[in-house]
Amino acid sequence: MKPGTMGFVPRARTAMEAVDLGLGLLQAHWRPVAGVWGLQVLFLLGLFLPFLFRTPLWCLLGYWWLKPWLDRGVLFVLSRAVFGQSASVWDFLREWRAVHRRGLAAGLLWRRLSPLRSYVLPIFQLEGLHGAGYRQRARVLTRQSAGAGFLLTCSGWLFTLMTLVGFLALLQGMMPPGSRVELWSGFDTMTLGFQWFLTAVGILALTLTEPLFVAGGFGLYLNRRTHLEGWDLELAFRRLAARLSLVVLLLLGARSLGAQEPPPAPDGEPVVQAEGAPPTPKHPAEGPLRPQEEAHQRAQRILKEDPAFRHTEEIRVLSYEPTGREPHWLRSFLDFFFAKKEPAKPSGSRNLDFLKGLWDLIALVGKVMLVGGLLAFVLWLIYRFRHRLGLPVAREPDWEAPAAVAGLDIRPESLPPDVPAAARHLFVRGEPRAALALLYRAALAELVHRKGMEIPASATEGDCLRAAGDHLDPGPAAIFKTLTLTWQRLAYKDDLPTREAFEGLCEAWPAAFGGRS
Amino acid sequence: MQPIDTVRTIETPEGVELHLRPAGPVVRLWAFFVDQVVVWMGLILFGIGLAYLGPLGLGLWFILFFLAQWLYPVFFEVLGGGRTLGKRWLNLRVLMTDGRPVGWSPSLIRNLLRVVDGLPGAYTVGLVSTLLTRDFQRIGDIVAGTLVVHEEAGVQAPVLPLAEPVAPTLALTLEEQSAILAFAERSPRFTAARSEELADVLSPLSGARGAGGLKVVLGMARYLWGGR
Repeated sequence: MKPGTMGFVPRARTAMEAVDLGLGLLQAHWRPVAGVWGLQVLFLLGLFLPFLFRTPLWCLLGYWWLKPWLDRGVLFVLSRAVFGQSASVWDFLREWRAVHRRGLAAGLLWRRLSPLRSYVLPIFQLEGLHGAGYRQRARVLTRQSAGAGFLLTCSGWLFTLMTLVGFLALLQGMMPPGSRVELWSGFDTMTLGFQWFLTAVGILALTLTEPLFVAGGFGLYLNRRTHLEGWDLELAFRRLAARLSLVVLLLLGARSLGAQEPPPAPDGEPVVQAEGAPPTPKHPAEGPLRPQEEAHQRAQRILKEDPAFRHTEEIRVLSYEPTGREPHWLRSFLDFFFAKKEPAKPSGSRNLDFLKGLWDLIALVGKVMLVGGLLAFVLWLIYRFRHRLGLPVAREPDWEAPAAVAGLDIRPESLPPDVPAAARHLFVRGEPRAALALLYRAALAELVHRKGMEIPASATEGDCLRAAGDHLDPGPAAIFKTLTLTWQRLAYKDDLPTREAFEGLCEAWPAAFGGRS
Repeated sequence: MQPIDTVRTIETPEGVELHLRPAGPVVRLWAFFVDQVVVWMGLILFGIGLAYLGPLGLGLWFILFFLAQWLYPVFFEVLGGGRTLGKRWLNLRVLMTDGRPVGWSPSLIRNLLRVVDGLPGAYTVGLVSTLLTRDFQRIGDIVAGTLVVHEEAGVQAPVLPLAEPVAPTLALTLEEQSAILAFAERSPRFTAARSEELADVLSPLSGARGAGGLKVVLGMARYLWGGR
């Protein structure tokens, strides 16, 4: 990569600006693109010729499906343009093998419906990657601008559709006034003639929009590589290095190399020229006030003579009157185009009918929303005051036991099989805090998991004590109270229980909390 | 042949250079799409309310429809700094071709001429016109002398990799300084090999190659940013 050999200015652009870079390349090189595209379309036309007569719509489908092949020509020209070279149709033919060698089948089969089709096309056509290498490369290259790539693909569809509709509307608009031809109704009948016509218009629409789509994807590709590889920085550095070497050699030409010519300023603003003002009517010389009669006469004269009031309009309409000498086919052809609509049948209300339908629809939506909203409000009221209405109140849905209460793990699986024994063991080993903690949390675990006590994870010891009162008989409840107090004293006051008190708790534990033995 | 660029540089009478980046049909299609969604959502909501007024509501709704379709873009473009909601969403802005903000008259002209760009049914004229003009102008833009541009991203202080500040041995131009700063900022996202390769291009300046050269170039960036 050298300054002066690049056909575009690399910059770290946003994705949407990168699409526009691709379009800029296309604008600058549209001639060779058009040449190559035309060649390819004609080639396909020759290929489809046997089917064209009977089933033209299948040809259109074929064109549509083979778009990735057509894209290759566009991308070939644009890839040359990146290095400032202008490719010609001959170059395309000369490089035929190179253009088609890489990934053609994949592009036409399983990559045909890729949502980033034009964005990834350069990866296999220009870089020649396939298989796992291709996938990895595509992942890296589309990581940043995949959203823009998808929007570009959607724009491709939309533009094609819009252009198709536009061409149809254009042709319909060109029909002579009063013509009976209604293109839109062709979709109902789908005569063979209409199918041919549709195929032609479809190919035209593709011709206009497909290169745009390819160029946009190529712009995204170039921009992503610029981001990843710092092409813009490399160019700037090379320019700097060149300047430096010149400075070192004390050459005087440095200044001209360093300076960059700015692009020419945009063309001057277009000027809107108003139409010549309409001719002002000439007034006869004014005299003193005249009687009414004279004024009336004068008015009549003005109406008659003044060109402003003699408005004539000449309307030229292309029409066809059969002479009886033309051949039959020509006559039916011309009849088709110039035949007049049957007059009469005032159809002015049709538009209003449509609007009334639309209006009714909006009103219906509003009605449904209003009634639905009222209904929902009533249901909500009933639900809100279900207790007062004496309706059966559903139980709270599944309560899930917390894994820990007040920071103590109470999952059954975290407990040893024989809790008192384990606690005694800990106590003897000189870890009374751990021993009491074990007793306490094991008791909580039993309460939560066996006795169905419902406490949230945020419950304090006091909360647990109050809740336990509802789930335990008085005896065990008293023991739980003692246990809680002992634990609290140890935990918060560092007040060690005596060995006897601890032993008492251990002995009472299995009976009080059911233990698992 | 001049290399293709998305940036148009224009000079104001005060001698200030402005960089405008005209936006092409693809991004503008989506801005238009967003605008239409907004307008139609508003129209449907109002329509539901007005439906209860009967024929009077229908009449009012049509007036509203007219205003929304014709004047919504004008109001937003003039009062919203050249940005309708869709353009805001896609970071676009309408400007005069000389970079001035767009006023009432040009905005009105460019939006009324949607009639022409919309021909013959689905904006084909507008699409062709944007493709044929260098700055992606549709007919309305050409007549009104306006331009739809990509918005400049906000400038943020660069986050530079740590390195010992090194003073360059040569007075650097502004472009060169910003290239070195940009390199330091972006180098964490390059592969290590590519970073060194790029730094090697500057070896006449840094006097070293490979990892050492990279360190010197990063040091120059810190020096240029103000580290001493």
